[in-house]
Amino acid sequence: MPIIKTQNLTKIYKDHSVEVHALNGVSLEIEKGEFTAIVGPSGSGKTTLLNIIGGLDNPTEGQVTIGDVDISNLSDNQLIDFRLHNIGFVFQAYNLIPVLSAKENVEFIMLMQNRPKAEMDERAEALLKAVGLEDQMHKRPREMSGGQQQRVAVARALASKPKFVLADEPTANLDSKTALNLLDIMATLNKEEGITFIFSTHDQKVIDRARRIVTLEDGVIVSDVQQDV
Amino acid sequence: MLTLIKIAWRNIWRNTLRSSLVILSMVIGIAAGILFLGIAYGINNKRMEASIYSYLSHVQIHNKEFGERMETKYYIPNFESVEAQLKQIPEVKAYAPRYVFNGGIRSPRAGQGIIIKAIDIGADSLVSNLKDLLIEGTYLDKKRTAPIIIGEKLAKKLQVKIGKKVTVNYLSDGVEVASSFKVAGIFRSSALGMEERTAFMRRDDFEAQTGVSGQAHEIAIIATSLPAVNVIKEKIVAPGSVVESWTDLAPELELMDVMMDKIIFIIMGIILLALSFGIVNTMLMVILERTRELGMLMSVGMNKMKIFLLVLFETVMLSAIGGPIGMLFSSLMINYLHKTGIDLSSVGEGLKTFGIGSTIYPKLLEGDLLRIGLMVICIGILSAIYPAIKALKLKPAEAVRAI
Repeated sequence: MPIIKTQNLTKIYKDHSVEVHALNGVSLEIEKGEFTAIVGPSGSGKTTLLNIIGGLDNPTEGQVTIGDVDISNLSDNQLIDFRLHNIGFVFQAYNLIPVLSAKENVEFIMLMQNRPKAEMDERAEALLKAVGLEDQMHKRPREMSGGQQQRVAVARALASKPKFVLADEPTANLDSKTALNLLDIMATLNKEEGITFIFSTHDQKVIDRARRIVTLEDGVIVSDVQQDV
Repeated sequence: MLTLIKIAWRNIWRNTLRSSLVILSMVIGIAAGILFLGIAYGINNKRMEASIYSYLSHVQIHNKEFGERMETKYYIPNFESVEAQLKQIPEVKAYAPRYVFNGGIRSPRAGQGIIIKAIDIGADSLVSNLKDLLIEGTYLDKKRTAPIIIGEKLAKKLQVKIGKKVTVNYLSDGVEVASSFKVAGIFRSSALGMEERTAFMRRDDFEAQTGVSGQAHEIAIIATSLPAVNVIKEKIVAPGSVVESWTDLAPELELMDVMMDKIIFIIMGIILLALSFGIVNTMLMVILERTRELGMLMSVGMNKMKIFLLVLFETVMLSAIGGPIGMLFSSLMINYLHKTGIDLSSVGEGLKTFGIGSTIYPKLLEGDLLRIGLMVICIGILSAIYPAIKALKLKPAEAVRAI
């Protein structure tokens, strides 16, 4: 059973009287443990597809099923709760809470899930260790490099034990070396812990590491290929 | 919840200068408001005291029939028994029996109908501030022959000065009495009609002229405190007499007191409202600056209530820092000024006309700071609502990419 299933997704944005078709009948299935890149030129609909899969936006038509839940039918509050417990997010601009330390940023998600303090402590430390930041735990984002911040963001995304992680252009703000390092970490987490990653990207380094590449153009899937890494 | 409070607290200090300016404006606004409140209470207190000590006193006792006719035949029934009671009531600080009656006063140049109060020099100085109201001459004493004190306006009308003779005539039990007096003192008072229509003479002189003795038309009582006024009123048993408190005699004075209280708090509310616009503006800037952060929080699953609380805590904290500092600062100022007084001698003449005197002693009433504290918290909460609504209206998918 696929972890994510989209059926005939259509998204139309209205800009005054002009209609923009961001997605045109996208149907896609993603299995648990995949390391998938959604690629395509700017305006192809990558981000829109990720937003809809992540429950941040509603489709104009079509259905998104995560596990056995049709999220298209959830209310705003149900969606917020669903996101908290099922989806991890990594953003292009890291988007950490600047007034919290790396560890507190990771713990924050678990705090919203009302996890016990001891579990939060243990998991935050383990995750930061997994992304190579065990010695940076008490630093605040402004004291860290962009790469380090993005690794904290990956740890934060995993903190809630999500079904999958959505990463929107995660390497766009990073230099090549840092980007490769981040990809290595995510690939290891995928391989060793079976965490499902879905990226939107047009960074060739990410595309090269992905095991499945879904290409979008003008809101339509034009290719969907598997590759050996 | 604790984490939200921690984030809100740290958020405040992300822009130290901006937050400090907001807090400083709160401190100055609240301190100025409370200081104004203290001064206004000080003036009001003086004004009330002036009215009570110049003509009202806290409690007055009269014969039921005395009313506005003020005929000399209406003495307080069983005066000695009433006086004996007053000596036994601990809430009575001082009392003074008076003869009060209508009469006429005449100088060689003019005449005027007046109210004459024949007072016990010793006792009356404890319940009246007549001595302080004198602008010329001296208070009544035992040595002089038939001294009289009149108001400045009456003196002008009669065209008399200190030491000049006037004739006072009145009816005592139907018999006309006419006597000569020497103007010993001239007073000034803002109390309505007092300067034009009131004269003070010695009680002994009245008794000597009329043969009346050991009676009174009026007993003026000063209580140990304002709450004691009603206690005194309830304790006095005086059949055939009316016992009236200052609020019965001058309800407008109490009304003004209540109105003053309300007006002062309306002004305080306006000051806080003006400050709240500053807070709202600051918080709107904060929301604008942190759109991406808020978008992230919404994306990862922070619910609307927590977003609202985050904005609320930050706003309330700004008020909660500025409010107490402003309140503490103003309280210290008021305490200090209550001891030293504020010398307003430059406008002292004007104030004296209102019977207030040129030194004001600011004060706060019990519970004022608590009320203001609650107002500050309410303003903090109200200031959070609009920015919080703005934050809640953000769409996470768009907000998270905001520049």
